[in-house]
Amino acid sequence: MAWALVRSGHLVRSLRLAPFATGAAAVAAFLAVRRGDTRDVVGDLRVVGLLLALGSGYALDDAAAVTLHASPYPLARRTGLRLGAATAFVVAVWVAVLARYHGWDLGLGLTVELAAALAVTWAVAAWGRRHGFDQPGLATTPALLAALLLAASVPRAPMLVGPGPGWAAAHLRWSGVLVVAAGALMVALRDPAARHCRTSGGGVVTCGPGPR
Amino acid sequence: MTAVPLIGREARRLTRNPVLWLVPVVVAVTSALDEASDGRNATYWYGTIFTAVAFFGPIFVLFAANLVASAARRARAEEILAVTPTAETRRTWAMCLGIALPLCAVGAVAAGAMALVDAFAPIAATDAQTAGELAQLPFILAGAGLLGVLAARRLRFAGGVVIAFVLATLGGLVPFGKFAAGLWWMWWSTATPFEGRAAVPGEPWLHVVYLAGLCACAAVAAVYRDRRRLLLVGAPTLVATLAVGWLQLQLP
Repeated sequence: MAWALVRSGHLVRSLRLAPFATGAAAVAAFLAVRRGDTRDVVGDLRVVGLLLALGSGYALDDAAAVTLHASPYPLARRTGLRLGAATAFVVAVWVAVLARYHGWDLGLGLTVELAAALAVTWAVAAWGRRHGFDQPGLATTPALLAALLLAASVPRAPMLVGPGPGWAAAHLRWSGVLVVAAGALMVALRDPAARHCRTSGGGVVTCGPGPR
Repeated sequence: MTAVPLIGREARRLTRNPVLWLVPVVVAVTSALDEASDGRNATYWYGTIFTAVAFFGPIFVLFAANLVASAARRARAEEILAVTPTAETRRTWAMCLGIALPLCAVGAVAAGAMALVDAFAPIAATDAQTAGELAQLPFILAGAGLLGVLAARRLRFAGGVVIAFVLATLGGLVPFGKFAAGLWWMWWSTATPFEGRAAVPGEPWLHVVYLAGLCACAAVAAVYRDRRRLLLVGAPTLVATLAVGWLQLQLP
């Protein structure tokens, strides 16, 4: 079913493309302004990552979500498909930017930072959806910015460090943020109406009431 | 119907928006975690208030105001509002005032608090701000709110506010990077920056007028959607604002 949605173009049509285009345009404009200046590769890649995360925050905005609640295709898969499409976009742009900056040696650490930012953004959006907000994307930008400002304000556990002695420790902390945010996202993706679900071979889920 | 109840309603909606309350949360947490090297003295609190109003405040106010201003569109209530006796122009003016006035008041209170701190424990000349620089704070906050309203009115699609945010922050890095002060996040203020940076150019009181002009431009662009009235009111406002902006850079 997932492949059918992708192949028929329904998945892409159901996504709000304007924020992705905004993110990509902002990345292109930023790279144009920098004009190949490679004095602060880490800073530049962080700005690019932030722009991509901001643009991807609207991935879960779906006007048809309420209608689709009644479909046998589970919430986690529906949301996962949207997040998968957003991830494909982010990965494509990110790899292109890393290639432009020849930043492969920094790539792993900065990719963890980007993944953590995306996980926080999507966790906020998924919890917003769970609480009945049709368009949680609007709230993801201030939430992500607040989280980054708070993360950057802990002097004993610096998060935004350059390559050097604190790099590995900082990225262990970023990995921790990624794991926690991914956990929050997974919990938010559980269908609130079903506790025990069985998946058949075709991907159709049958759910029953939970244990009494 | 007078505009006052509408203004009050928009102000209440803004103050109830949870995004706005991220400002005190972020300021409180960052201050609590900050290892103030010289202790939490008067200079520390002076700088904290300035950072809260000139840096943290505008970021979150922009999104809070955008959420308030786009609520009717997101709730698909615009058709219902269109048949009410209050015209769209009047409602939008009320929205702009309801968002800008409380923010101006908060900025004025912050400026007053900074002046009080300076009065009780004089701040070093390198860090102290003049009356003209303090007077900029209300317009910086109100301007962020009006930019949020403008984004909601003009960029009527998902992610429109992100464009406004990116243009207002990253876009600012380009022109402001050309000044001797270099990249400075609080570029809307001409206040003598901390951390030993060069002063941001601009005569402080003229900069206040320039900021007020920018606020007026944002409000006019948000309110008037038909080209004729937009040109009639907006063009003189924009020209006057640009003239003051140019003039403030010419004076020492």
